[in-house]
Amino acid sequence: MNAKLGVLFLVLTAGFTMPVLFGFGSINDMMWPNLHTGYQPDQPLPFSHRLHAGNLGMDCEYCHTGSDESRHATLPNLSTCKNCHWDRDTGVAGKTSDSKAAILLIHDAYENGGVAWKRVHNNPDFVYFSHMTHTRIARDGEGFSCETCHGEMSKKGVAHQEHDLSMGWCIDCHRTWNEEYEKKAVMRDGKPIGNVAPVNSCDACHR
Amino acid sequence: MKIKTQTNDSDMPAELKAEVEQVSRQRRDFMKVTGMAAMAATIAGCTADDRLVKPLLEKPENITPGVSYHYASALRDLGGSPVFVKVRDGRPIKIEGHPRHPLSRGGCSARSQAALWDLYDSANADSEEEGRAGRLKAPMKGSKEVKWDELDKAVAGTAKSAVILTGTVNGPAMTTVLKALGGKHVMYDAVSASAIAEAHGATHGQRAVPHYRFDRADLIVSFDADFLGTWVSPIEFSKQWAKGRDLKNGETTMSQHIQFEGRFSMTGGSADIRHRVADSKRGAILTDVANKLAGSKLFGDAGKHGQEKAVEELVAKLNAVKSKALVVCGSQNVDEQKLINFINHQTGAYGNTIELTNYSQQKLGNDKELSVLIKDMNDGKVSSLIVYDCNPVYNVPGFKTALAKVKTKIYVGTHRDETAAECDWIATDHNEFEQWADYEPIKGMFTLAQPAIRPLYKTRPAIETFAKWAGIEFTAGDSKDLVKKHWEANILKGRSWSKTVEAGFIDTSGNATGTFNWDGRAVTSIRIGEVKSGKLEVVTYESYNIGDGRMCNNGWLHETPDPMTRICWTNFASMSPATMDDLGVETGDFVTIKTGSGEITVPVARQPGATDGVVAVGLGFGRTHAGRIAHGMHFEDDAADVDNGYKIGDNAYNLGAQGGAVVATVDPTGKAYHRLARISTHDSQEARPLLKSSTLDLWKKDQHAGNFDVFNQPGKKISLWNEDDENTHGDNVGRAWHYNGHKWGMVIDQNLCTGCNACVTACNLENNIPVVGKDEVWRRREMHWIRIDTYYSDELGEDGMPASNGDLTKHPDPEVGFQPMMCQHCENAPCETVCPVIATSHSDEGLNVQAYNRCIGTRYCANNCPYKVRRFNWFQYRHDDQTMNLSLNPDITIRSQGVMEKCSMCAQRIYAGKREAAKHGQKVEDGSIRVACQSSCPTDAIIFGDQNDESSFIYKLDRDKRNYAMLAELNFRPGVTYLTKIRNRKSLEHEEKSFSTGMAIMKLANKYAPTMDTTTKQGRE
Repeated sequence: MNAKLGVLFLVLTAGFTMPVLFGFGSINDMMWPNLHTGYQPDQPLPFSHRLHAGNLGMDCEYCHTGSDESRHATLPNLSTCKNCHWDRDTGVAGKTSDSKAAILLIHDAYENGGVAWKRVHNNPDFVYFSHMTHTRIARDGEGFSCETCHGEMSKKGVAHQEHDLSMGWCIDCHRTWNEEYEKKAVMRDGKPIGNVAPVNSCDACHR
Repeated sequence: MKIKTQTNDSDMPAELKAEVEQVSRQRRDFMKVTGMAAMAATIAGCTADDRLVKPLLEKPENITPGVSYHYASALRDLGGSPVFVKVRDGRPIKIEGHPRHPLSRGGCSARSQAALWDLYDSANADSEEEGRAGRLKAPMKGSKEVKWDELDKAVAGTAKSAVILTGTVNGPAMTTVLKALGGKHVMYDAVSASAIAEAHGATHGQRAVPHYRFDRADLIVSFDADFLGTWVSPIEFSKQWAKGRDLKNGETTMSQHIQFEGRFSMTGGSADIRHRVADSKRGAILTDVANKLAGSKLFGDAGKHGQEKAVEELVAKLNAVKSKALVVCGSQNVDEQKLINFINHQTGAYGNTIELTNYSQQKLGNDKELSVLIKDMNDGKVSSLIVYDCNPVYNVPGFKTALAKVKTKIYVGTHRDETAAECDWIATDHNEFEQWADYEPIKGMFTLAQPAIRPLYKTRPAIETFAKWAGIEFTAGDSKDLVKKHWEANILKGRSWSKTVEAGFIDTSGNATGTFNWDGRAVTSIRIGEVKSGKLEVVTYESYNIGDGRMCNNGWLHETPDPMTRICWTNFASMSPATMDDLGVETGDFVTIKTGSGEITVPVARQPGATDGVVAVGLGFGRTHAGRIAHGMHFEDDAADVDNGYKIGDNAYNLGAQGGAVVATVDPTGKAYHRLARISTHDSQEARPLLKSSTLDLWKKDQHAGNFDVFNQPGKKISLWNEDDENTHGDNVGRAWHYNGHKWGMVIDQNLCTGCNACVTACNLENNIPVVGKDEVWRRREMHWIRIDTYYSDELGEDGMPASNGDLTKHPDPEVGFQPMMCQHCENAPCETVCPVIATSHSDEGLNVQAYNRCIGTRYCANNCPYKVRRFNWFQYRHDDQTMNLSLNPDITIRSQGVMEKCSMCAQRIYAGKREAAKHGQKVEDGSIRVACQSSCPTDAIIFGDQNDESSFIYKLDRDKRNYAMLAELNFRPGVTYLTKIRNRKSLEHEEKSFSTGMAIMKLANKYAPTMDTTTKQGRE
């Protein structure tokens, strides 16, 4: 009886103090973690993925050069923007006054030491995710398309987070593909090469 | 006590600050603080805090953020240590040995690796407390920062006529520039090899230290030369030494290593036969050997020295192997060195195991010239002096008073050290990672150093400073111009500059020719010293980690223990247990050592196997102007530390024993350091087969020698687990691991391990392991993922059991074995089963993995680990010093307080290797993944690989008859296994006995269980 009362007391205390301590959102977050799906911060430059990747059909790698070489997809250097928007007045500029103003912003930022973008996808410090592994090595060298995780950027204006990037979300896919590989067993010289199947051990992401 | 650090936001140059900010934001793992802030925000129910990413304006060519690049370079240590510098996002984070350079072959000393500390040593330069400053950030006049123009203007005139005093400078470009400056150039080494050069000048007409070839020697004899530890070129010599002692590739024999020494050195620990000889008796023994080789009393009567039998055996062996012998000597007595030359001449070693044409330039110091200079200074004959790359006020007794008589004193260096503090001007040098430099460590072996980071502060490379004062024309601010011009004109001879930079060296040493005539008349008989009874003799030696004192502000090196006594964070007077009894002292008691030259006070350390009557003290400690580490890692409440002025150890240069042993009086002070920081305190194995060893003769009879352990034999063992069950993913219960892909494992060849600690430092840097300080080490809270256990052999009683005194050996003349110990990556891991949150688990590839973010710090795992390799973060260590943080490896989590950690077998390197292979659609080649400890090992004693890959080296070694698992009786099935140590000496009685017993057991086992094929992998199938 006493124990039950104790538990009840704890639950009630927690119920009352936690919102006070951490704000009312905390309970909501802990019980139904949406982990920032849909997070879409305002960016310092009005860049449109829909225009560049969609209408103009540019490759993702044109700007995110690290995506198939490095852990980080990397953001473009302003000099990359200036490859097209090379002239602040007459270069490839927008047709509307808004877009003309945007190109001026690029040049201003370049002269003032660059632009600090807001990070959209934020993994915790203890997660080691490699873009290169997923774009270049996964699926026996085919790689996944960017859309698999980032959604159809070519249809979005400002970038936002498509999936929740939770561990469960990662593991789900890892398990599915691991089973695929077990059926398939990627072979080289009659032996499984063993280094393309997704790893389900902790050290794949946490080290 | 936590490490004292300062946040040096304000000290950081604006550009660097911007870079740090950018890097830290871009790579979230870099600044834990930001991460914590974001997580706090999450808990508070908001969406993620806005984290900023600021890309560079222009992408540097061929550099992708997040990808590491290696650059061939060289460091100043040992007169040019060839290295690969791993650079990530513009900052060096790890040093590896140069895999192709003949002086390194991949091996890299602890000191070279830890040199990064000095680069990022950011403590405030104008710290109020004298001597605690870090790297200087600008040129100085006295203790005030000045502009370069002001310094140049004031100094340019006097610099041209100044005497230049430096450490060893062997770089062709640097030498030329110094010559152009005009003044007399004097070189000296704090730990000198001058006598060897002197002796060769007399006997061969070539004043040089020769190039030794231990790999060509069948018999290596060393008289007090610590060639595996510190002597001349230890990394190169370790590689060579290991070549003759490797038994893994079907070799049938190995070289023999005999050591005569007073103190117990690391090299003596690796020797097959070791004779304890006081340094004062060395002359007599050398005379005896030389006489016997000559066949007459050519060098006078050797008298009685107590080693007659050893000498007789030695001479017989020398006569048998002839030119395949190599005799080396660490003495600073020219006459003794001449006798060594005679012995080597007599055996015919010159031209075989000793090369004089391509001689060594790693120690160019000339002791005679230094003493002449000091005399001149005292006589007022030197009006201006430039001091570069040395610290004579600290390490030359009497230099300080002489320096005071010099009118203009100019110092060129990176820190305001003891010498700099006495100088008028400091022309602040770049750190060695920031500048171009060149070295010629062996005649004709040209080695190039290139910058690995943009200069952090307003400093200027020394070569530019000297060139400017000398009036040489070059592109201002570009030391490359000076080096390149010299190389193009004199060294490249048509070779491509860029390819040379890429390779890092040009080796023309093989082309050297020359004949040297032996002049036997130069060898004279020597005065044989004698120590009066009742007096002790004291020897000083270069400390294994700190070296000559240059790196006394280096936390990584201070926390790396001395290989023999395992003491860290101080130097000590090591002496034999018998000597300690005579003096009535115990380990940790302070003694005052007095010689004619000075006195020091250091704690005593028990050193079994040291010669009775010999007291050995390490050099390089007791610095007063080294920096915050040298002052900040003490016990705040230990009177001994307070009395010592918070120095680390005491300055053994004061004893004046660099030239050889000196007579000393040793008096206990009555004070004790009862909290001496030691990494491990256990000497003895207490008859357990931990470090198995046998002899070459027995090994030749049966390779199982020393390894007949029944627990290592195949067969069913009692197990907690139902081992027939299939492994189910994510379920820790009921499993029989079978690995479809890789199965990573490691083999450690104890025959080759010399205990040098290179692996310990490599691991520290690779895995962001914090320095915890003296106090925490004393509380057994060191964080090292790998340690080297040093075991001393024990005297055996009548019953065949050790007569050890608890954990301390009683043997007066013990043998030593070194055993690297890290997480054994057990299959039946005891740590995994007790973790309440499954933070530690077994991976699909045979690793025992630790998920830090899951760990709640119960420490059950560490408690249940029989190997004691798990480490707990008792504090939130370090990481508030932003400049120091630049050295952190971004591929590894920075662990927080309350989290358990341990060796991950460099999981980050394994994944990188797998990615690299998969990128090209290939399978991982054996040897393509090298873990940090393996990669730096100068003897290749650590082998890592895929145990599932039948073509791999480790697959073969797992089936070697010397292979065994630690504590195999517990059936943990470690992924790390060991190879028996084989000694090349006569077998002892108990070794013979256990060999024949083992053979008998083996025979029985084979009779009753014929399926037991002893050649297959033991204890695994």
